[in-house]
Amino acid sequence: MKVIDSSEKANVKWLKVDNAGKIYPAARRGDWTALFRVSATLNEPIDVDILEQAQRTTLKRFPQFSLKLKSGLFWPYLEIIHGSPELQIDVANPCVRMDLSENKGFMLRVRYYNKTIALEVFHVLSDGSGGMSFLLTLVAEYLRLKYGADIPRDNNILNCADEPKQTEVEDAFERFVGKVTQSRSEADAFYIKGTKEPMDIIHVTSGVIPVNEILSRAKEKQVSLTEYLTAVMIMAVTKIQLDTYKGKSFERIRKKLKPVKVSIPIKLRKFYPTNTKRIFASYVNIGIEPRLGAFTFNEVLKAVHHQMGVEVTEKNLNAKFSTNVIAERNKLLTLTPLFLKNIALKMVFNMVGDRKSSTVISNLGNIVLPEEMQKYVDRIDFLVGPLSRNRVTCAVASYKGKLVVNFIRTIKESMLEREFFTYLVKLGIPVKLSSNSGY
Amino acid sequence: MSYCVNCGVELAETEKNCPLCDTEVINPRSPWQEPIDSPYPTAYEVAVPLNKSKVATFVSFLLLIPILVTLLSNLIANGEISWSLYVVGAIALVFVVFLFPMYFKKFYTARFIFIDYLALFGYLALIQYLAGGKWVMSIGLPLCISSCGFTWLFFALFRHPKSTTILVRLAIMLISLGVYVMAIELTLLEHFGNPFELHWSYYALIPCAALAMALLFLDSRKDVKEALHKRMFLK
Repeated sequence: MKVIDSSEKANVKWLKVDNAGKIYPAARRGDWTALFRVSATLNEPIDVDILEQAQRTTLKRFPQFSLKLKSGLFWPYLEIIHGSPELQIDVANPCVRMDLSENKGFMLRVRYYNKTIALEVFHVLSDGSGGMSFLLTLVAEYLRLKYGADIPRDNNILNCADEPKQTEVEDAFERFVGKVTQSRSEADAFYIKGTKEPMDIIHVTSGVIPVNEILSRAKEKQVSLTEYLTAVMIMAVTKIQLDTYKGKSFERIRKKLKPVKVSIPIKLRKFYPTNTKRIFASYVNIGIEPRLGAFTFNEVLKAVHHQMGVEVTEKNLNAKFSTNVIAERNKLLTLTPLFLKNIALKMVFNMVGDRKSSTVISNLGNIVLPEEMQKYVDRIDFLVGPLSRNRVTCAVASYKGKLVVNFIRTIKESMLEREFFTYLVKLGIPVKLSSNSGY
Repeated sequence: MSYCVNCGVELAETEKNCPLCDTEVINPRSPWQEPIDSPYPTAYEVAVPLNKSKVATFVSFLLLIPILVTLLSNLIANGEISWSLYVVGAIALVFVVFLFPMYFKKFYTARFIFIDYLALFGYLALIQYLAGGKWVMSIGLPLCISSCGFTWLFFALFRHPKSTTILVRLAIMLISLGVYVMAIELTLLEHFGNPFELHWSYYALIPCAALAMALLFLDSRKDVKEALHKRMFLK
């Protein structure tokens, strides 16, 4: 394993797209780009001029976000862009397809509305944690410029007076790749069908839950918060699957039932000593096999807890991402021109892609801000844009004792959110909802 | 503070209807009011799919290069435009078949198939015009019509996979394949002025029909299906 000096300065002119990022340029379609969004709501309306300055300094500190996607002969690459994109007024339909030819080629957009600063990022650049680090640094810069707030900086909220460091722009997959691979074959999961909306209609349903209410219940069952939420999600999806065969006996539908699985992104930074702000995440698909019969909530909790225990280990996750990194080193594949690779990758993505899970729950965890910053920030939101095939996604982040669960949906029917939130209510957990349905 | 009577969730003051079930919020103590400070922006990003038509137009322009080169060479070498029209016609055909559908958001199977065969017929007519002969109406047209029907049937059968069982679909395909081959022979007989006596298309029609019957029989008999499965199972 290569050791990187943590003070080594980064000299970014261009970067190779990392292993996990390679699929996104190939898989994007005319009506879909894999995006995610993080946003912070302050206690005062946003000052646009100051936000612009803050964006400029933050982008200088995060060269891994000022990149443009380019095509090489064999692989796509990312080229540094100087300057900054124009700030955009926020819209009611977040994470709408990003046109990479717009916005000077930047693959991120910083938006503002009233008291909110939002960042939407094309997944090729970074993952939720990297995006959150960028947003928090941007907000800290904004607060510094606006109020002269002296916010302590660390590895998450970076100091913009420092130079970018090599360890923040490194391709951590390459550094920590192992030698063991594992099979990727997995059964397809149940898929929530629905009436597709036009590409620019995006429904957001946001539920706010007191963290202690849900955490105490999770502790009671000796599971983590993510596991608890995943179990609720599995119950919700299972009910939707059974409802599609309403009126038929279980024995008649048993054979038709498909596994219900929820994809959970896993931060790899927890397992490896890196401070990269680029993608460094894997995922696990956790679920149940409804053909085996009706599951109780306790059974699902147990199944989720133990599957997570087996799958979320350094060894297992390493084999998982090493499989992809090693596959990419295949000589024949390397020598194939990019346009052919893109066609092949797109085909593979369409065949496999998000077919192995019914939906996704991405939990960014509990966000703790320094006291000097906390007093200005009221709320933090995290959203995962619609996936290619699965049209309902769920993203979670907690801040100041509140857990914000954001659903994004591009189908008309709100059944998943309904089953999910009403299940929580039935468990005795209060939920307060708001939505963008008024636009 | 209002709750949805149907879902039991608390609703933010901004919600007029429950976002989960669309039930209207009726709270006599705090009737809904237009929020002063909406949590979501009112602006809305309008997006249209990145057009495939741009790609199509670009490729079309690229196709203009061979067209111009052949036309020019033909004109310089022969002093007239003659053989280059074969190339022009072929490229036009490529345009209609591959690029033209890219200008549409949806793939209209039946219409595109019809237009493709219409273009093919046009190209055949051009060949007859350039090369002489009298065959396009007697062979080209009937063959285009029957091929068009056959292609359409193929797409129609496999488009809605759940409408019939695979065995029935295969049977229909086989029968229509037999009929299609027969139609080819009849067309040729007509063109060459021979009496309407089938010679070789039987060889295709009979096995196709027999196999189709077998498939239909198989589809209707559960016990036979099971017996076959028993003897030939793989896992």
